[in-house]
Amino acid sequence: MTTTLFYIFSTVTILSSFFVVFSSNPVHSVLFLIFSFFNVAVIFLLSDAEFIAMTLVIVYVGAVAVLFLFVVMMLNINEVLVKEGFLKYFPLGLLLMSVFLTELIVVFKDLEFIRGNNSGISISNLLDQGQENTKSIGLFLYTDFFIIFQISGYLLLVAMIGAIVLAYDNQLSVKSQSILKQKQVKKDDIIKLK
Amino acid sequence: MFVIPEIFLAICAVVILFITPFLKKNSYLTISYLSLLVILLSQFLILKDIFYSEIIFNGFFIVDSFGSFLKSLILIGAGLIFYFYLTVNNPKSLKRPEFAIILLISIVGMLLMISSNDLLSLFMSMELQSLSLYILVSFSRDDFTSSEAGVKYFIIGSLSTCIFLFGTSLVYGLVGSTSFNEISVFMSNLYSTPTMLIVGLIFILVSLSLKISAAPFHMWTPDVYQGAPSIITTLLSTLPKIAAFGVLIRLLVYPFGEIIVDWGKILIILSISSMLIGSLGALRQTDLKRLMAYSTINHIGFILMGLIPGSEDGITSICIYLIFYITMNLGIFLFILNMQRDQVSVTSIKDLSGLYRSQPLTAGCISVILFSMAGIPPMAGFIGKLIILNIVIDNNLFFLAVIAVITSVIAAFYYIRLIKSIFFDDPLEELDNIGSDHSKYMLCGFAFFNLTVVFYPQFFLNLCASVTLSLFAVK
Repeated sequence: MTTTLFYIFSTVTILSSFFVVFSSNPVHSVLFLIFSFFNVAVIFLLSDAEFIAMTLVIVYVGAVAVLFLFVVMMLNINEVLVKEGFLKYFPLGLLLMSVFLTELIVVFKDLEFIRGNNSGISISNLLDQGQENTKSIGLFLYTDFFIIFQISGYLLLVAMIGAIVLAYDNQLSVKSQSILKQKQVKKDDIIKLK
Repeated sequence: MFVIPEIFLAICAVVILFITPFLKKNSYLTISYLSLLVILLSQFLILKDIFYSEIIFNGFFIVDSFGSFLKSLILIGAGLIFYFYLTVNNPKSLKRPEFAIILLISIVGMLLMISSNDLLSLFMSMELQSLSLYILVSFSRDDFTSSEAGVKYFIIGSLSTCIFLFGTSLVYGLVGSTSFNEISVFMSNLYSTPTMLIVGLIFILVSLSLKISAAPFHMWTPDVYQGAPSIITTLLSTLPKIAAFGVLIRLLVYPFGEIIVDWGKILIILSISSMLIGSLGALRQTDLKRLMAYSTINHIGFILMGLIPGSEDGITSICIYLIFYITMNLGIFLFILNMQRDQVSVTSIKDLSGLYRSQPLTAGCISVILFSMAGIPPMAGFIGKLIILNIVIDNNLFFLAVIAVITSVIAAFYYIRLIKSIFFDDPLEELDNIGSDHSKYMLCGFAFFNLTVVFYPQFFLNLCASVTLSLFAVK
C-alpha cells in the first residue's frame, strides 16, 4: 500500500516539477511548484516524518511559494524574452542532463549498501524508542545540535542586517513624511499676508 | 581558561551592532576601530592556545594547531583589510557602520569553516561566510556594476550550496552520519569504495572549487572581482580562499584520506585547468582587477598541486604558499585601492603607464610585488613556487611540474608587461599621489617582506611543518 502510494506521489512530483520548468506562464509555474511541494509533503508523511511534512506545507507552501507568486505577479516578466534562448541551449542542457542521469543510475545501482546500514539518527531509529518525531527533533535540536541551531540564528541576523543595508535608503531623495516637522510648522511660515 | 575565538568574535559583532544606533551619524570610523580591536583580541585568543587540540560541541567543531594557524592568518589579513579601510580614500557608499559589522560576521563564518569537523557545521558556517560576502559585494548598491556583481555572486554561490548539499546527502545516505570522525571510521572498514561515496565527494569538491574559484568553476571570478568595491575585492581574493583551502585540506586528508587515488585525479585536472586558464585568460585583459582575478586562478592552481600527494610536506608547502600569496595580493590591492585620478578610482592597466616618473617609490614597491607574483628568484613568490614544485617532483608527477613551469612563464609575461608599462611607457595623465603616509609605509612593508623572505625561509618552513603535524596526529 505504502509503496504504491509512494510511486503515485513521486510520479506526480516529478511531472509537476517538469511543468514548473516548461509551462509558458510564470504564474502557472509557481502553482505547479506549490503542487509539487504538497506531493513531497505526502511522501514525507508516508515515511513517518510528519513534522517535516507539516513544516514543508507551512513554510514552503504558506510562505515561500506565496512570496514567489507575488514577486512573479509584480515583476510582470516578459514570456517571450524568457523563452528566447531556449532552443539554443536545449541540446547542451539535454546532454548535461543525460550525463547526470547516467551518473546517478550508476551510483544508485549498489543500493544494497544503504539498506545494510542503519547508523546515525534515522527516523526509524527514533521511532523505535517510542518517541514522536516532533518531540525527538526538539530534543536533538536543543541538545546535540545546539551549536548548529545557534549558527542558524546568527545566519538569520545576517540576513536581516543585509536586507536592511541593501534596501534602506536614508538619502534625501526619499520623500517621506516627518510628523515632528509637520507639527512644528507655524502659521507664519507658510502663509504670508501682504 | 580556554575561550573559543569564534564565539568571542561572534558575540562582539553583535555587541558592536547594538552600540551602533547609540552613536552619532557617520559613526563608521568608531565602529571600524572597535572591530579592529576585536580582531586583535581574538588573534590574541588564538595565539594563546595555538598548540591546544580538542574536539568540541559534540563533535561539530575541532580546535587544533592547523586550524589555529589558518585562523590567525585570516585574522591578520582581516586586520590589514580593516587598516586599509580606515586609511584609504573610500567611496561614500562604503562609509557606513554596517560595513564593518558584516565584515566581522563573514570572518566569524570563515573561522567556523576552518574548525568544522562535520559536514553539517561546515555547511552552516559556509553559508554564514558567503551570505555576508554577497551583501558586501553589492554594498555600494547605487553603483550598477556592484549590484550586478552581487547578483552574479549570489546566483553562483546558491548553486554551489545546492551542489554541496546534494553531495552531503549522498555521503550521509551511505555513511549514516555527517561527522568527519564517523566518515573516517566508515572508510577504514571498507573493502571497496562504493561509487556513491566518490560521486558525493565529487559534488562536495565541485562546490568547494566554486568557492576557491578553481577552473573550470572560475567563471564568476573576473566579473565579481571587477564589479565589487575594491576593498571587497581585496577581501574576496585573500581570506575566503584561505578558509576554503582549510576546509578542503581537512576534508580530503582526514575523512576521505583513504580514497586519495580517486580525489587525486580530480585535483590534477582542477589544478592543470586552473593554471592554464589563469595564465592564458589574463593575456588580453585591460582592467587591473580582472587581471588580478585571473592571477588568483593561476595561484589557486599552483596551490592545489601541493594537495595532490596528500602528504604532510604537501600541506606544509600549501601553508607557506598561502602566507606569501596573501602578502602579495594585499600589496597589489593596497595599490589598486589608492589608484585614483582627481579623487576618482581608476583600475585600467593603461593608467599605470609612466608611474615611475611621478611616484618612483610606489613604482618600485609595486614592481617588487609583481616580480614576486611572477616567481622571479629572490622574492617570496619564488620560494613558495619552489617548495610546491619540489613536492610535486618528489611524488613523480613530472608532467604536472612541466605544465606548472610553462604556465608560470606565461603568467610572468603579463606581470612583467605591467612593470614595463610602469617604467618605460609615456605617461598619459598622471595618477594622484598616494595620499596617506600609512598606505605608503604599508606598501613598502609588503615589498620589503617579499624581498627579504629569502633570508629566513626556514622560519616559515618550521612554523608550517609544526602546525600541519596536528592534522595528521588525529589519525
